[in-house]
Amino acid sequence: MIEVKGLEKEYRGRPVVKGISFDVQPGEVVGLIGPNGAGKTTTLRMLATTLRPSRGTAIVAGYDIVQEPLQVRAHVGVLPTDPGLYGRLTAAENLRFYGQLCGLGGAALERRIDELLAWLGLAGAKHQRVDEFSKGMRQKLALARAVIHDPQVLILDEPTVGLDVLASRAVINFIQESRQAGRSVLFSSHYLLEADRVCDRVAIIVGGEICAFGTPQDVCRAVGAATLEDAFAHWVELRAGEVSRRVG
Amino acid sequence: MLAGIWAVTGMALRIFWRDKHALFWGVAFPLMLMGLIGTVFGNADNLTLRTAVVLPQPSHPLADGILQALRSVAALEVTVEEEASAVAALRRGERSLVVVLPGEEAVRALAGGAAAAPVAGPAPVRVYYDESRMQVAQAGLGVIRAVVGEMNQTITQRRDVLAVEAAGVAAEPLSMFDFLLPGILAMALMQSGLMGVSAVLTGYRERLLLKRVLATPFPPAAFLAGLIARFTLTNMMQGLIVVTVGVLLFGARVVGSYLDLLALMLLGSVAFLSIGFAISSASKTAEAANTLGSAVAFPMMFLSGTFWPQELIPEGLRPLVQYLPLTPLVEAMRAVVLRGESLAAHAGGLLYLGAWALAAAVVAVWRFRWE
Repeated sequence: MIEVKGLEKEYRGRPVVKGISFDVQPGEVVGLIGPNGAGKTTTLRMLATTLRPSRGTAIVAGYDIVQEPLQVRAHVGVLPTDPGLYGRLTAAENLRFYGQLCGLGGAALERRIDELLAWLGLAGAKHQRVDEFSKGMRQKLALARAVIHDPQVLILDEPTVGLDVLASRAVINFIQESRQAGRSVLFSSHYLLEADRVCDRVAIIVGGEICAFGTPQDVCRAVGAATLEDAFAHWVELRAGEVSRRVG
Repeated sequence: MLAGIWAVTGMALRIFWRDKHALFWGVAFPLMLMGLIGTVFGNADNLTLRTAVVLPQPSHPLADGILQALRSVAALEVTVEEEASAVAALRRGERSLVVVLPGEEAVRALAGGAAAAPVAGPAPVRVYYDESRMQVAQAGLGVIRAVVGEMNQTITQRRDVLAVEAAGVAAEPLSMFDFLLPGILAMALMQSGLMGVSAVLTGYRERLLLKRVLATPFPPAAFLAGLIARFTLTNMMQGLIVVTVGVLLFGARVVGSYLDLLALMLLGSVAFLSIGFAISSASKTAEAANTLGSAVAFPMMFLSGTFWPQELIPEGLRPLVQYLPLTPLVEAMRAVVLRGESLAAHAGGLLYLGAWALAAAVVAVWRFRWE
């Protein structure tokens, strides 16, 4: 599970994430939704321990992200916005390499590679170089890499951005199946319909602050919105109005 | 941990093997260069250098010793002549080299005699050559330097300079490939470090592959150790291919110890890997790293005696040449390959190269960025 406690991040004195708190339970999918520059990626990177918080902390899979980053990494699967795969290696070689970095090896790793490639529909491309993959195939492979070590927690940064309908569908299925497997899934997205469909709870983040957190229905009800998109627009416009009043 | 490091090395080796550009620049290019230069400038299979020796008046035992040593080198056809007529013959292309030996006073100082007047530097052995005949100049200067170097070494050990013999000096005619092999070998190591390392590291950084490592439980430093092992292995492999092809295909000879040559390859590899890491740490993009790497590599390639002796480099640039990290590596490799000298004879230069490696490593660690 994930438990975020007053997490803050500043870049050169400018606050980007302003003391946010929320949680993700086992077997739950939480969507972090917000406009560009809201602090979504920064939050996810802090939780994945690739960025150190300025203040506050979080417990991820039972480990403190500031005190125990290596243990956190061993129990978290991360999908960044850029898949970051080795183009000259095949699908299996990429997975094998990352599996080895996670301390796996031998027949168990080979079985896991076959299992993941079959699960994501990439079994036929096992020995194909990633250079030859479509964007959708790369994203699926990056998802397989994120769970190669069977983590309890998944952190996915805009997992469906730029994908066609079928590839997006495969990613959504992956998230839902991960939930069924008991994983805690936190993902960021711009796509509100997708978030509404997949998430058990959503956190609307604007200007580095969480404005609303709850089930999509609760978030809508709180501001009298008919859809999640309306609720999202409400918070973004409200915050923009506050900012312009402050500036004015 | 070790399994993880080996996984990184294996991954990087696999990528190198599948990268046709890296293979071309790392392995084929040095060989092509050696073949091309050796064929164009060294078209004679073996060089016989018609060497005029100008003895001082009056002559002295050391001058006679040097003359005898030069005569013992099969590559040289030695005649004793007057300076003016010998230089004129050189200009007409009738002589390959003119060697003017130092006078008695300078030699007494050189030999450290009690009555010797103090001198500012070693007694000069002036060598005239024709710049338009590159292959002759390169091979000839190599031989003369070898003989004089041997004499110097002996003089510092014994007072009896008359007994000097040109032992250990290339006793057979030199080919252009003998001269080129160590230069090309050193150049290949430098290229791999300066261009190869920086291209790979900045490429990984730009494609966010380094950042991905941070999200795994694998220690980042161990990832870098795996990459260093990959470059060391490929450098050794490239070096062995260059030496093997140079010897078997081009007929180059290695007079000295292959183990010494291997040790030099290892030191050169470490030093230029370290400089390559520093360059990639200081560069934000792959293009910037490539530009910086080229800016550092190309002057060294042409100034450090890779393709021709340093004597051919303009006088004004020579002080700079001595400070380039490639220079001591080329000098030591050439000394081992051509003259069979020991590494101890080049300890100063090799320590200097080691200092470069250390300084570059400090910069690399200080400036390294994962993203």
